[in-house]
Amino acid sequence: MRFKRGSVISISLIIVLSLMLGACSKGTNESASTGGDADKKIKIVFWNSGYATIDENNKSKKKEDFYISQAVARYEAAHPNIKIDVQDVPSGDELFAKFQTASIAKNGPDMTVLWSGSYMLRFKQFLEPMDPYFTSEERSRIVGWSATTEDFTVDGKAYGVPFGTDGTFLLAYNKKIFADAGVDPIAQRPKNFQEFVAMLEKIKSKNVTPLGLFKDSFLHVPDYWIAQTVDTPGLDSLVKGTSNFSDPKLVNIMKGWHELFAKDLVIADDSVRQLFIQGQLGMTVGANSDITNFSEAMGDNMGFMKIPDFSEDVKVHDGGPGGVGAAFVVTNYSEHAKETADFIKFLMSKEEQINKIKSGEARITVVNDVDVNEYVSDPLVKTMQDLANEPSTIFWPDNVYPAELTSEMMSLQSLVSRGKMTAEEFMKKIDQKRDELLKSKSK
Amino acid sequence: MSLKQERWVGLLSLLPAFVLLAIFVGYPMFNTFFHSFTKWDGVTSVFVGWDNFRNILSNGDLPLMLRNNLIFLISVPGILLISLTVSVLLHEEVKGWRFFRSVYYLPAILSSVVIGFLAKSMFTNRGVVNTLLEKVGLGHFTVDWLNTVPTEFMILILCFYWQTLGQGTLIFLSGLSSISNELFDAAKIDGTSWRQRLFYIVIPSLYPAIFYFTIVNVIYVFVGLFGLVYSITGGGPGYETTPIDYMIYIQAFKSGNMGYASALSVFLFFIVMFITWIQLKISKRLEQ
Repeated sequence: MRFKRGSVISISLIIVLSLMLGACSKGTNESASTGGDADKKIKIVFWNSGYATIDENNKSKKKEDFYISQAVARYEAAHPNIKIDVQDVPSGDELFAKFQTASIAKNGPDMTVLWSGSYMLRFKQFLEPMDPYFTSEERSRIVGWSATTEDFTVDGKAYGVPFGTDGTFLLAYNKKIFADAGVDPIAQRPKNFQEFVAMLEKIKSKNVTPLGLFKDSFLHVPDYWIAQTVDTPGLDSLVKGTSNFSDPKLVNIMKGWHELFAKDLVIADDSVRQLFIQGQLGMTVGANSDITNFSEAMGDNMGFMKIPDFSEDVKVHDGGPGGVGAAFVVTNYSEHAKETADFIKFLMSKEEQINKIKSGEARITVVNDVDVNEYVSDPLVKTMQDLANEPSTIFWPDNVYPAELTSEMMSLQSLVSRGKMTAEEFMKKIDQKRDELLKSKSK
Repeated sequence: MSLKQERWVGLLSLLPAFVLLAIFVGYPMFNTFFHSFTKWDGVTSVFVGWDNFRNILSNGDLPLMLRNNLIFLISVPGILLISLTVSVLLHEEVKGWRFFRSVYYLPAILSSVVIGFLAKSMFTNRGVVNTLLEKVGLGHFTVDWLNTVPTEFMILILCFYWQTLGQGTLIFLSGLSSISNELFDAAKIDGTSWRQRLFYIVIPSLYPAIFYFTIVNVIYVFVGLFGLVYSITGGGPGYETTPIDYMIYIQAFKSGNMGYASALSVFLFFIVMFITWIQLKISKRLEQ
């Protein structure tokens, strides 16, 4: 049989194109490469942004020496038909972008760890509700479910499982620098913003930058002051538009935020942790893990205190922002949602939480059947756990605001700190944005 | 082979390229156009008509974004001149040309994010630049480079120049190599200065290369600066250094407004198309 040359070319092209398109097609989800064969292993892809797999202070530490690798090995040994593929990914905005694009294409992971609250709920269209997988007993031994539920209530529809707690965000200070300036921040704890500024000015007089903040420390300091001024129900009413950010009390907080920068009492730089350890800063902010790291690096020269109240008439005194800042999530396009949820249950089990604490990679926990004090001798860790359990710790306000509102706040707050926008204008803009969002939601 | 068969072979030969273009360019473009008229969360899209475009025009961010893009746009002639000068100097084999010939392209192979983070680490409050200024007794010239809008733009443009210099020099060097040496020799014998040779021989001969370089970089400043802005300023303070392409990222991935981000992409597409059309018109007029 003889083919015409045109036909041969056409057939060849069709074959080539079919191969190319076959290669391009989504096909089966890589994360669910089992098919229906019971003998085949179930593969669960875990985008890990929560567990340590690198030790900055010990680069020779092997991956299998970290807690998560050991936990996975234990799980796989107990479940020979399951393979957990732990893929390290960055956290925060990078993870959100990666997770969003992958989820649209339905080729994301079976599970990952996202920031809780609004950050996580923004992706609820891609998330498997966790209620069918966790019995009420299983839920009751884990604290912080409200950070993962649709309506921020403990019993609401949960789209994630509390992963860990930031404890209470604190201010760490250099004892020597403070002593040289004649300041004892514990005995003379500032009672309001003015006293806080006066304390920082004393440090500045010794030619030391008093306070080091991160670029996103708006979330750690003034946003907390807003939350402590209105309390959690007040935050809810700000979000729902029944009260306004342009309330003079809240405007004063933004004025204070500007004052800290205008008086050169603050630097905002992402290297503040290193600068603080090097003794170039009087104070800096930190979660429980930062405080313990500072303590390891600086020994007795490091002290810590809660962020001072903004004024005497705030609703929550002597607290701090914090709580369950991250949650495990399972994707709703995962072909092994149940197996993935079971793996999460395993990680949250009493035994594994104890193993995690013993490994030194977790200092405090979100399960209530493990007493950290039994496994950790460092009194600082115990203090961190106690602080985390205090009712004055307010759940991160930015995790409660809609993501778009947080994005707008974060973009514009630097204009206030640099004096390019007044506190009144800023709060008015935030109110406008909130109203726009409410309007668009009601359409 | 008959003419008809030849035509078929030609068409079929082009088919794979067209199919690939349709899949990797056509489909995403169509998808973006479609979603620009919707409120889209990545799974469900609700048709909202022109609302996204109305919001772009009315929410007050557009003039600032256009201003930022304009600042980058007017920086293009600067890198054109620098690339041209460097390529002429290399072509004329000035002292040290062998060394520069081997290093000028290095920044072009680095990713924008690497260049951005490098610049960021140099220009932070306690970075190399301020430390150096203090060490040489020029402490009063230290600036909070990354917290002041004009200096932020300056650093962004500096990085853009550094990254583009290699590409420009390469393009112009290849153009220069096509100019006959006899022409240069004749001009030298006639007593022309370096400047005269540059303006009367080099630039006219390099006209197609200059045109290509300008078009590519004008498009780049609208759609390619994301990496630098992301790694250096994050678009801030406020939206003061946010060009349109970075706003697309903010809207899509920080705020979750995929429909609005799609509309901004379509808007940017038409802006770039309009500017390229103007450039083509100018080019045709200059050719005439």
